[in-house]
Amino acid sequence: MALSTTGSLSMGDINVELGRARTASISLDAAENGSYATINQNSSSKPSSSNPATISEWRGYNHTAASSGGGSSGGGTVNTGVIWNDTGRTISATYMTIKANGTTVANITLPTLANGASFNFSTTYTNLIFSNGTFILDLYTPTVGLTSSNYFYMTGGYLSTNGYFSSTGSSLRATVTSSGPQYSIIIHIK
Amino acid sequence: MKIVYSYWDTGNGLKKPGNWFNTQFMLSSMVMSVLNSYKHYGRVEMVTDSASKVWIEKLGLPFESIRTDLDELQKYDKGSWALGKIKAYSIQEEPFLHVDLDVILFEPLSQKLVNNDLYVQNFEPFHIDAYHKTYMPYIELIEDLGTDLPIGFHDKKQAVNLGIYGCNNLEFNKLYCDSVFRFIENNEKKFKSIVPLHKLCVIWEQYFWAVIADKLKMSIGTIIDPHYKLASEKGYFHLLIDKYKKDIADNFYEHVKTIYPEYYQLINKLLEFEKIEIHEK
Repeated sequence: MALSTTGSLSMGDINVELGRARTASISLDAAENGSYATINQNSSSKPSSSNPATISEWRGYNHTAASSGGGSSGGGTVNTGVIWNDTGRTISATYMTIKANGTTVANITLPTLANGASFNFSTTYTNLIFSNGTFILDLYTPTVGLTSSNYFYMTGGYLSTNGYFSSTGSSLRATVTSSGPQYSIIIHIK
Repeated sequence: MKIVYSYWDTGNGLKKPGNWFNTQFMLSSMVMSVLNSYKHYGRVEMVTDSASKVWIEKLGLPFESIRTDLDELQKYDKGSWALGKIKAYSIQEEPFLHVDLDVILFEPLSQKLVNNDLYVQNFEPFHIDAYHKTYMPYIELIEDLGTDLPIGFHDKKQAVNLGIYGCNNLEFNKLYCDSVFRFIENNEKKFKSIVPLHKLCVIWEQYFWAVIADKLKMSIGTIIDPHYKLASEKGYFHLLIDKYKKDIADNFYEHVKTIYPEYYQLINKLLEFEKIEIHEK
């Protein structure tokens, strides 16, 4: 969110906008010179590195302003994943959600998958988990071809545990853990 | 397959890399990207300028060559920052895949994708509002005032996202790169007084590409759909605007520390040598 264009503006506000702790030590001149973080040139309002440095120069500055000339026209991270059906049967669900350490990284309609088929999808899995990750897969009802004897595991960098599905009422849910890294959401349902 | 990277110092040096939260984030992403590409394909090349070559060499990444062809861009305005990519594309003499520094191929691309004449991240059709807003004002500006536009410029159908650009058709690549340089040669000075030049980069990099590929009827593969929902590949990672986020910068730095400790040491040495503050989590 951009810094306010009206009202009070503090050094702490600038720290927060730059992604730093509100109470971190800050020099206005150093901030304007990009010493703490590169000034986002895509922000329509931004401070000048010329001296004297003044707090009013920061009004309207948006440190995460999207680029219209940054080589990419989209928003946040893309991390593509895949789900494989290795159950021996055709499976389906209305849609699926995936959580990585509590953060929803995918929420998408799941097509019917024949045995051996896969479905690729885009996720927002950005803060990659290197160790001790917990991943929850919900397949929402009505589901076809899935029972509590089915399980899933992940292989996006490390072999996770197996997580068996159980009913939550609205979904079949399973949870796996991974002591090693998972770079992408690569799921196998057995 | 040859994987190509490029880095053009557009004036701020390593101390303030454009479009990144901080230097160590950019270096961490570079390490992760290059090492994953090298793992899958065994051949990586860097195209840069002489000044940047000095610090890139210090990272010790397994580039088969670090070319300095971007020295030839000195006469151009640094606002046209994507020219570094265009120059890197233009000097290729065999099929190649250019990968941006904020893209990581955690998995190799499928043969189905790389068999296309060309392949990119995604189409950006202008019937989708976000893309329309990004491109159309500048397309119309160039339409009114620009010269040396590629045939089809007035079609206004779509652009592409070139987070990656895979090319098996070098004739297309030459036409495309020549078209961009011709436009820049004859228009850069004029537009500099009208609009920040960096705003035009997506037009001549990503819209020109789509227009020319359409006219030449190239087969084009993509990785994700324009709405960023469906995908054709797994393990494709692109930071996009998240390059400005501190928590993701920390995450990447931690990743390199854990997975590539020798490169973590090299990054720290380089930051110390350049007198750049190291941000610990």
